[in-house]
Amino acid sequence: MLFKLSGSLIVIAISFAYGLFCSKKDKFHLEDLREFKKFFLILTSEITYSNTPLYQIFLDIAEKTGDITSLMCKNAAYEIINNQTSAELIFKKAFLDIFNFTYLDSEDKKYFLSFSKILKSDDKNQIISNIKTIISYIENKEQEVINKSLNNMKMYKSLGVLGGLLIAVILI
Amino acid sequence: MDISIVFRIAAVGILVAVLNQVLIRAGREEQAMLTTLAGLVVVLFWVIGYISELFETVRALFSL
Repeated sequence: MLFKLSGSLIVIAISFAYGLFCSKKDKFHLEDLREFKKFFLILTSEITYSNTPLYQIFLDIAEKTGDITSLMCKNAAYEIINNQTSAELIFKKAFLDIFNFTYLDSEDKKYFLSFSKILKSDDKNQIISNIKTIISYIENKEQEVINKSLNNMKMYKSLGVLGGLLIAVILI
Repeated sequence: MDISIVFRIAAVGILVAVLNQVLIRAGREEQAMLTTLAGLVVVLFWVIGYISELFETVRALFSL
């Protein structure tokens, strides 16, 4: 009996913890989106007001942003310095390397990868207008995630506990 | 028949009903229906043996 009881408690605790984690997922997604918004805003101002080379811009951004975007910028900058391949491929590779460590979804991935194609262009204004489109996408997505998270947070917490109890009752 | 099965079915019923309400309020009607169905299947799985036993008893009683 004690064995069954402790087993049930473990199942409920794990289920509750998983529910808590799921309820925080939207928050982590929001943090990542804000981090990338910061990256694109700094990039826009750097492109607009300075004539520094791309690797230097990436290194500057790496110092001003959080862990994930900082790592991406550092990787991209070192790739530009060492391999000197196209900026498109370098950004794509740097983004895909860090993508699995983020909470971004496939739609975000599609938009951010589309940014790498813009880097091919020599037209400064075109690059800036495209970055502004991505920033407006991020702002819309932020709002969408905020609305969704309010609803989901309570649901996942309740589902965690109830799911755990249900599993315990079925298996006991 | 083990009487504990009645309490287990009652517990599953209560939990599935609450889960159903939580999911419906979150706007996930499809998942709510799937949860209800899963609960029904689990309970049917438990009682199917007893139902079979009941039919056997009825058949034996009336020599059918």
